Amino acid sequence: MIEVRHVSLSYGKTPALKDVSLCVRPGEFVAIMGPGASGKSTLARVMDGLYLPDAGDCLVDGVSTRADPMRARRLVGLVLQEPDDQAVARRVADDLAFGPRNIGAADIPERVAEALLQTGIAHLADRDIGSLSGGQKQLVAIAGVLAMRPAYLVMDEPTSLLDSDGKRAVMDAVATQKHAGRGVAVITQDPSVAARADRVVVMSRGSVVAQGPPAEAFAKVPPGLIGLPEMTRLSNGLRDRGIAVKRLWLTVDDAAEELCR
Amino acid sequence: MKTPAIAKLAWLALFSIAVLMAEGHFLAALAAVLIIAAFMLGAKPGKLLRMLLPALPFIVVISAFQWLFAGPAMAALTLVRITLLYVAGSVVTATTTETEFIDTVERLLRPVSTLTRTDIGRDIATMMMLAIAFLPIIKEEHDSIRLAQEARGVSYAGFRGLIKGEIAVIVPLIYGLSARTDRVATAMEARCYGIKK
Amino acid sequence: MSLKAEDVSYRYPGAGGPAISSASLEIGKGELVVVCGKNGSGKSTLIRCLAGLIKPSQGRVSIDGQAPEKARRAIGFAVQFPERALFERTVCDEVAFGPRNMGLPPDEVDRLTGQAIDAVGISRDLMSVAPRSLSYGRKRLVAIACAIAHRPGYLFLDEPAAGLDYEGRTRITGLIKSLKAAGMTVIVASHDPLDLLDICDRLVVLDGGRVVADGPPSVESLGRAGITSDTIELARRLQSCGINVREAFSPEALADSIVEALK
Repeated sequence: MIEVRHVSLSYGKTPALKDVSLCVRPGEFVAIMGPGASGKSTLARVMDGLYLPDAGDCLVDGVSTRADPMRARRLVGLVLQEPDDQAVARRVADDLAFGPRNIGAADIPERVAEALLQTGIAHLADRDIGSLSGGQKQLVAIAGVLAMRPAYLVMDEPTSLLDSDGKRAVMDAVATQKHAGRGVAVITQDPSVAARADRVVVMSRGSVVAQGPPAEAFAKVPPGLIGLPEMTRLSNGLRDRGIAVKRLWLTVDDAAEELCR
Repeated sequence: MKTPAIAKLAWLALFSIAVLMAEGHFLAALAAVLIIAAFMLGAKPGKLLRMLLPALPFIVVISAFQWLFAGPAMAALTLVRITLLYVAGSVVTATTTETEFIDTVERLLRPVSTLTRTDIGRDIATMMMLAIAFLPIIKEEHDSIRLAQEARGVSYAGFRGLIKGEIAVIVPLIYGLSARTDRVATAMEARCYGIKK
Repeated sequence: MSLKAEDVSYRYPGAGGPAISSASLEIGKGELVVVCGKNGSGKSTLIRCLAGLIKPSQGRVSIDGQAPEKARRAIGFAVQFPERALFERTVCDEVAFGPRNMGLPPDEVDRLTGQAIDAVGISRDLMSVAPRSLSYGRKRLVAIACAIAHRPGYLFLDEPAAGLDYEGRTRITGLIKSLKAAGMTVIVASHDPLDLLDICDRLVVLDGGRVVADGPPSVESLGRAGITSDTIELARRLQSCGINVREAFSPEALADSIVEALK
């Protein structure tokens, strides 16, 4: 489990995180939402051991990132927003070998093959990364961290620059990793991504302002802070127009079930 | 069977020396050696041709200068030599993956690393890999910033326009590349770059 | 007065196939047109051709009857990544850059700069701030202010909402609405146009460099761009279970339609 306990962190005098607590369990998909500059990206880097908290602590499987940041980086794979900025080599397979080489792995070819299979891009192994689509590049970035066999994945806005096809491919990869027992945390501005999570954490100005299963978190969040899933907007809209809606909707099924009766 | 990268690099070095020393019939023999080598290493003719095409104008211009200053015989010799060297280099790069290449560089530099008790060999190898990956990106970034400035009415016509226009490109380019370097460095650190084995 | 593209094709140097093939399009004054399609479908290339930033390999573009190079003042263009355009020391200089390039007198430049900054809703207090120190959303607004400062008749926006947070997206949608209301012709390229469907006049869908749909937005044309949404999906489900709702793109529009159908 990744446990963030009462973490505070400042850049110089600007506070980025203020007493933030949350956890990501194995096999769980947690979505982290919030406006720009609310501390989401900083939080991702704390979970990965890239930044150490000023106060509080972050534990990865029971060990503080402060005690062993390198262990945290091995156990927590971090995927960033821009598909172009994560490749260190030109050929896909060479890029995937980068992480395992850094940790001195003996079975690099096996790890590369395994990561290619898990992300469904084995056919791209010999391609030049520059020639791939944005979605494919993002899958390469995910495969690049999977080659290090992490126990958790933390993704910082992995779909925001992708089109519908790319988004679908990345979300499929998230589902696969969750089912393989990895804990996945996805930072996102996209409510349709968050609607599929087990838990949603909403941040604002460095603090957690709502946390819980999606329906609960979306109901608690201050209006106008984040975008809401379309079906949630619909159930709110119907309520505003005087139609009784039993509960807050997340999916088309929720809405169809109640309306078609 | 896969030829080790170090053998290919050694062959390339010897072949280059031979090309620079040889003349006349010997060059024809070396061309034959090159074709056999390309065949043995499994380089695809189509790929070699695609690698050669962008370089051809430069080769022709250099040879044309030779013609002006040293006469047609020297020009022909230069043309053949440069083409042979270029294709030989392409055969090696087309059949060697970056990982193999980097491993070889790292191994060759291992004595230096041991002597200085650092990871310098590995760092140099990684930097070479990054440079290969980044060169096309700089050009791409430059062109898209130039387009962005043209969209705001910057004219690149004439010498003064070009200089003024390039200034409007260089500032965002430097900022853009340094921001990008930060992001790439973060991605590399997150993938455990810098961990001692 | 209109912007016309006839049989336009464009091939990037060294590329295998054309990025745009024989696209024909006419955009009238005051229209809000959204060009959508998947990444790599040719959206950016098409609007660059229409704006005269790149010359089509085939076919021709005319802006109010003139060749694009003669109609530079009629065109404003904001590229996708604002940091690629911003380079001046202050927001004020940045926005004034375009009008100065056009050789306008200083007091006219100041007036246009102020108007553009007001139009995008940036506080005038920020005029002396360095554009690079602003948040991503504000940079995008400054870049749009730069594009409209010389009061072009046609404004092109390339992915204006990409990478922005909820507040930023809402502001961009509101800004596009107010620019349209002020009579500007706005052409937006976007891979995710759902926010704009309720206010746009026309949706142009590109697939593999070809125009495959052009007309008022419809579920069918969106489908051709590979775009679907929960709202569209639910409307279909409701119709099949006997609730007669209209085609709707935003949940709010669907809510209205449901209220009507249930009456």
